Amino acid sequence: MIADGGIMAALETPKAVVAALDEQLRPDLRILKAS
Amino acid sequence: MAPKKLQLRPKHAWRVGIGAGILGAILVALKYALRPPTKRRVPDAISPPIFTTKVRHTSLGQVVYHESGSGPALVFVHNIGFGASSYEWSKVYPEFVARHRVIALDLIGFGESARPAMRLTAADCVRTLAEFLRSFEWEQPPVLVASGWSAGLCVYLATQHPELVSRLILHMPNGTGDVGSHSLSVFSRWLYRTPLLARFLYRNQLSTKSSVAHWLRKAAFLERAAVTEEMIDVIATCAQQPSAEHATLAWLGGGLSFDLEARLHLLSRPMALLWGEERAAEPDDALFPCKGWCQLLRSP
Repeated sequence: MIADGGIMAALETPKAVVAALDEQLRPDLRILKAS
Repeated sequence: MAPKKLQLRPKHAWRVGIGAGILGAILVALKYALRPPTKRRVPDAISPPIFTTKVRHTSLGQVVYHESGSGPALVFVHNIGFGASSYEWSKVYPEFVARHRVIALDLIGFGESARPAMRLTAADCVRTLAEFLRSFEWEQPPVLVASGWSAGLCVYLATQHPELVSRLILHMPNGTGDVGSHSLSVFSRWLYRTPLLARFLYRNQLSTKSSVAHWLRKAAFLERAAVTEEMIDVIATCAQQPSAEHATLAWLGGGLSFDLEARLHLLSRPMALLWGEERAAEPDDALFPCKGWCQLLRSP
């Protein structure tokens, strides 16, 4: 989840978006599977 | 009984003539009152200086993209709208060049890429995005990072061409281009499908610097003070480029909409959703049909 920002969050709150992407790109990320 | 012949009585004929004359005059006036596109090139601020700007060719024209870094590939795909381009991600993607090969492209119809004078469809966008991705040699398929309608488009792409995608990271995806209260009425959709009138509205009103600034402050950002002059300049200049109206009007007219729910059921690639806390606690079902999937968002 991103803390703030509207539909252009990448311009409005880039630090929050970078942190969210960083978390998703961690090599130890566990991928959940939908059933 | 013999069918009645439709006859125009002389007393009605002059009214029809005047009506046709007025309509013709309006159409001619709209055509000649069209504001010409800008001759200004897109500002350099569209991409960070350390990135190299390059071109790939697709069946609908050239795709302009910015590239830097090495490692696992990350491809950033911008949302669509007035003056949309890779600039949307330009404050984010430089942070990843230390560990990734980073690519940020302008979709066909937007930014510095080809802007064909045609009514684009979502299928056209998927096809050209697939052609763009296929033109690279990847060590492993890229992770796609996308927002809004383009995030939905990447789901569409991943269902048609799963070999081109390793994972999806999506910010507020949808299949219509609408977001919450900013969805368009049936009348507005009809208006944006009316060829000359829609172009007139776009060139003379929607793409002006003041309109772009208003749209950014009112609809695109939650915090209006965060909108800078640079953002307004880059986005308005992109919006005013020759033929920039075609893709945006296709979007506003609903021509780029597609059934995201059907696509989600076919998705075989991992997907992460990013959603602003200022919106709903979880994606709005009307925008992102994810019954059952939302349980995963709440999982630790």
